[in-house]
Amino acid sequence: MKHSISFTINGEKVHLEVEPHKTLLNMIREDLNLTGAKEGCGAGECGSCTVIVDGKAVNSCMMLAVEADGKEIITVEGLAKNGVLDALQESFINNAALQCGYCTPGMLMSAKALLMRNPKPSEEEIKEAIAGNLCRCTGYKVIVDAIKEAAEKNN
Amino acid sequence: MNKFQYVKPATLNEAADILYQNGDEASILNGGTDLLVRMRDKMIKPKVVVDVKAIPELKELKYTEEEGLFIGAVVTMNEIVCSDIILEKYKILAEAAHEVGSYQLRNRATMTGNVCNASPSGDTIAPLYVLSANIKIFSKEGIKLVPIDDFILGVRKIALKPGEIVVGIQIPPIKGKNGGSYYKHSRRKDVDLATVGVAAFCNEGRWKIAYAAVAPTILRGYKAEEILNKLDVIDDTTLIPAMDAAVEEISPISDVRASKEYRFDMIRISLKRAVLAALEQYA
Amino acid sequence: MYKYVGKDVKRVDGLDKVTGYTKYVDDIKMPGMLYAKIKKSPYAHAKIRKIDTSKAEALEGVKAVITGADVPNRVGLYLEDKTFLATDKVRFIGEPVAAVAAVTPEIAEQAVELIEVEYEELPSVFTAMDAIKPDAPLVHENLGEYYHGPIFFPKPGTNISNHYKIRKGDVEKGFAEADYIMENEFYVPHIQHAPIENHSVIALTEPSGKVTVWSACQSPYAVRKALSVAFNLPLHKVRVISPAVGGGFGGKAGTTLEGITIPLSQKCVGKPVKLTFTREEDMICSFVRQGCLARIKTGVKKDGRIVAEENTFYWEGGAYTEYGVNISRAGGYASTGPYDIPNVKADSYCVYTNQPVGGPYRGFGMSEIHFAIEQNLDMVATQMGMDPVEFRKINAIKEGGHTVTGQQLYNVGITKCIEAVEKDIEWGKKSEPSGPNKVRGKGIACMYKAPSMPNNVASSAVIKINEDGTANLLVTAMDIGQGSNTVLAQIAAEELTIPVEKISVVTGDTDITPYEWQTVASRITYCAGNAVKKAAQDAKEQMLKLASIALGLPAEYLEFKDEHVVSKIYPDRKISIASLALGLEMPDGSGVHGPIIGRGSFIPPNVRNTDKETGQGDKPVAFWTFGAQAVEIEIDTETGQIEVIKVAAAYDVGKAINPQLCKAQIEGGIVQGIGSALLEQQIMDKGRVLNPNFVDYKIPAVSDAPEMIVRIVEVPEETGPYGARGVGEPAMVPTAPAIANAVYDALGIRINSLPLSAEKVLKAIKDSQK
Repeated sequence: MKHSISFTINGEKVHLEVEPHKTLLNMIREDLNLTGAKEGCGAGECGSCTVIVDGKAVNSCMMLAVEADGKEIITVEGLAKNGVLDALQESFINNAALQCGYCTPGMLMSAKALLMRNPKPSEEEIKEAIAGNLCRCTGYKVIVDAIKEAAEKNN
Repeated sequence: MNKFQYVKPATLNEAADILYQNGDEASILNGGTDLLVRMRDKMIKPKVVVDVKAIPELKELKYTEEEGLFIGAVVTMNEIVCSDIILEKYKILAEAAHEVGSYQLRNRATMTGNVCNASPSGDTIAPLYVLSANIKIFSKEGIKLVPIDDFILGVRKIALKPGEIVVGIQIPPIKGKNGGSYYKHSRRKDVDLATVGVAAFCNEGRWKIAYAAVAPTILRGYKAEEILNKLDVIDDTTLIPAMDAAVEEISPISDVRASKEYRFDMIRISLKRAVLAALEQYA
Repeated sequence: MYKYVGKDVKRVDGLDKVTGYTKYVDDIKMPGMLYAKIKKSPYAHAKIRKIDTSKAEALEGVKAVITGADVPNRVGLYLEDKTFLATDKVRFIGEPVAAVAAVTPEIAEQAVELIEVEYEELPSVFTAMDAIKPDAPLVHENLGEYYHGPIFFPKPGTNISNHYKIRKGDVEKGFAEADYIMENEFYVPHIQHAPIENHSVIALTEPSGKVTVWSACQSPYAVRKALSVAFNLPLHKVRVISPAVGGGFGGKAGTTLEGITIPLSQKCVGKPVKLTFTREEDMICSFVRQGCLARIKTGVKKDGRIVAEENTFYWEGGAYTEYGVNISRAGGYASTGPYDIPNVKADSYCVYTNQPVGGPYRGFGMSEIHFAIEQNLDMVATQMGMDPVEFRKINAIKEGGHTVTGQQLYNVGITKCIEAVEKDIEWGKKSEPSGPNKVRGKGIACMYKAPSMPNNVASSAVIKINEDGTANLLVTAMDIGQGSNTVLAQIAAEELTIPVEKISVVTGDTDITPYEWQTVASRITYCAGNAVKKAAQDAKEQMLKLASIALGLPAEYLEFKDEHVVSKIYPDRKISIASLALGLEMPDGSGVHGPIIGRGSFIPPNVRNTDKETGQGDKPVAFWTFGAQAVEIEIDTETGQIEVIKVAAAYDVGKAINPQLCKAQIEGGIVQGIGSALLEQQIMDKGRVLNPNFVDYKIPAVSDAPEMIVRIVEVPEETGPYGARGVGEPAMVPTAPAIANAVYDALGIRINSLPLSAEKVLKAIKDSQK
């Protein structure tokens, strides 16, 4: 049986009928065509599916779509506002904090959730926030630098 | 993932009815961080998934001098890590909760979920053993409290009957000087399962020890406790008999994470480090 | 001197990636799309007696089922030893034996479970040493019939699919002259590429029979070639598009899932068929880095000169070595590391085993052999009482020195690299451990690497000048994260004097973008870079002719400057590139020439075969990249855990076209190297992978990244664009041996195999105390 759910995603209200066994990630990608969030492992180990639900970073592969009912969701597609990039997006480009780009949306969302709850994070707090986001390309240093830079810019 | 029916009861009674009617074919959905992986891997194929996150009693996190701490079943790990009362009075729990998975996972994962999975390497379980936690269970017959070591029966086996639902975890108040620590040994610093874990807790000079990932369930370290209780001075050297005792108390296996032999070595070091860290907290 | 080259131009793909806009293959959805799943072998080695697909075919929603009978042609990049689905027998656990296309992934999965396969189990081999025994079961009985490139030497009737030999000087005499001889054995296990994107392919067959695949692949043209062979299709009927690649590291070189999706799509003409691997499938069914057993014997004179080296490498190539044979070749022609040694004997054997398929992996054999070479070097230095850095400086190839194949080299930056890391790591200075039961150590390792590719592989580029003065650069060099789109745009910009932001890079479509052999081997900046430079020059020559007419000045008096052709003498006499883009308009209103399209082709000059018996040759490779890394580590002596505190790296890249991206490659390589050094191993039990997921196959996370000091050395490569060499792979090669050498420095203990897991280190500490 499908469930009727309503939620906000990137500021837009959405009503959908979803099968209970559909993950939030699949709903976002397949029903809403927001393909920024990726499936890298399907088991909560790589973080490439990270989105923000009610202000908190979560692995969207480990949440059912029906659980999104009444929630407010932000995906990477919702980071830039009216064509203006988020400070994190700017700093990721400036620091070459991305290479293949596959982990980037998840990495950005973990970082965004961090800055939302803690505008002035320490290096340890940055590392804690992205410890669950695997990147095989960059070696992480530039990602940490980019998050620091965005935080400084915000303050 | 197989197809299933999703229900989200609003009350404990309603949840208990659904669980009773569906028996083994129902799975409780709490944080989902374990359930969804197991459904994805087809290790379980529930017909009904019962989302308990709308039940008000399960959302509580409260402390009273008389009853101690209650952590509702759907309180997340991050809520525990950030709780002032837990940081003040039960720091070992916050420490252990922080060891679970990644930040985003801890936004969903719950301590009750960790307990109900009953994995030998569950990070928060050993600390709950040393804090003598009780599992608060609701059924139509009423509420009962089950000591955690009676609740966990084996690997992924818990004492929960159809129609029963865990409301939360009740931890007795701690009187007097105390300090505790959870030491986790793992392969990678970030986001890893425990290869070996030790929870150590001292209250008014009495020690409680629990071992993780070295037997089918968490084990209490009674022998090590006995030795520690008799020590006047605790340091690297005087700890050796307790470390030796820990080796005798566990029955680890060899798996992809470590050999049995390495786990024997690490239980010694983990015990030592947990005890010394607990002493630093002791106040 | 340069306006765009050598500058930290921001990634041209950055905006699309940070907004989540970039579409990777699994992000693509098409109308009527079907979803595929594969049936995998549960046996390491077994005859397929019967496959019954009738139940699967009968399932509602199933549109096509295929087995080995549908893909009978053998393919392979260097040795045609594989079919896309197992035909007569299975050779590793996880080998695809059948596949299904259905209207949903769930139905496809159900259908796969309904396929019944009858096997007859055969004896298996799981190590190279077992596989080379005379009575070992043969993984490929018909090796003698397989087509292979002329530079490979399989031994039919054995499991050896290639034997590369080096015979240089007189090794017996060399050892006789040596004052010290050190001989040891080292082992490097199988590891995973683990890009965050799993393999994904969509195939569509049109009514005309034309096949299009959208594949997360590094090498569209190499894939096209293999597919044409596999399915008897002419090349113009196969179109390979690589929209974006979410990390490759070699794992997406060659062919992967295309050969499974095409026959499915041929049975459902007009419907696209998508196959995306799960993480588990990616870790079991696709390329891994093969295991390598190395025996190194080094002979040294009292003055520190290495006079003889005898090395043997046994590569555990897995069930198919279509690609792996070339790794064994690379191991052979680089067998001594970056040192000038007069007498060398080396044998590099590629060996079939009943394990997952070994394939290209960042470093292409260099990480494996340098792990052995660089440790043995330290061991002999220790025996002699010589400082490891000094020892390396003595033996490193100098100006005019010779490689193991007898190639004479000039413009060699290795000594500069050693000096740089020596300084940055503060070699010789001991720092305090962070606590009790902790010890610190420092270690160094050097490396060299050449692009391992057939001698005459080609690159090409097309530049179209637009009438507003912008340009489109068409290449099939794939930006797999290394930043090639940015670097190639910088090269085009430099030549054309058009700003980078006015150049749009189009890649990865064999119907549109021009030929590129493969995006592998750290060859793109060099090979494709040269092609782009030539294409730009070609466009410029055309425009120069037209400008000469327009300005009434001889072409030799004109130059390109700031998007114009300008007189060298009268700077005010100029004409814009924009106004030449579509040809020149004459005073009478007529036009000449037409649109400016620059065309550039490149093959590395004069790369020639080596001698079959001796491996000797004066130019067996296009260029060599040299580098060094030094590390500082801290070991917890109670747990065996190693923490890498600091890594100093220096590479001679010839010319860094984009220093920021160059450093990014090196930092990423260091951390991937740390993963292979400390954490990573594909744990197998009789061919079964026990850790096919990120729960138990740990790659480095953020806390594993050390402090990194990266130096770029620039000794120009004369055939490289602006002097550039490749650096993508070299970045990870010396990390593991440098860490192993630091373990010795800290503990006085040698560990001869990877990974240097905490458990292994602790065991070594305990063994040393016995």
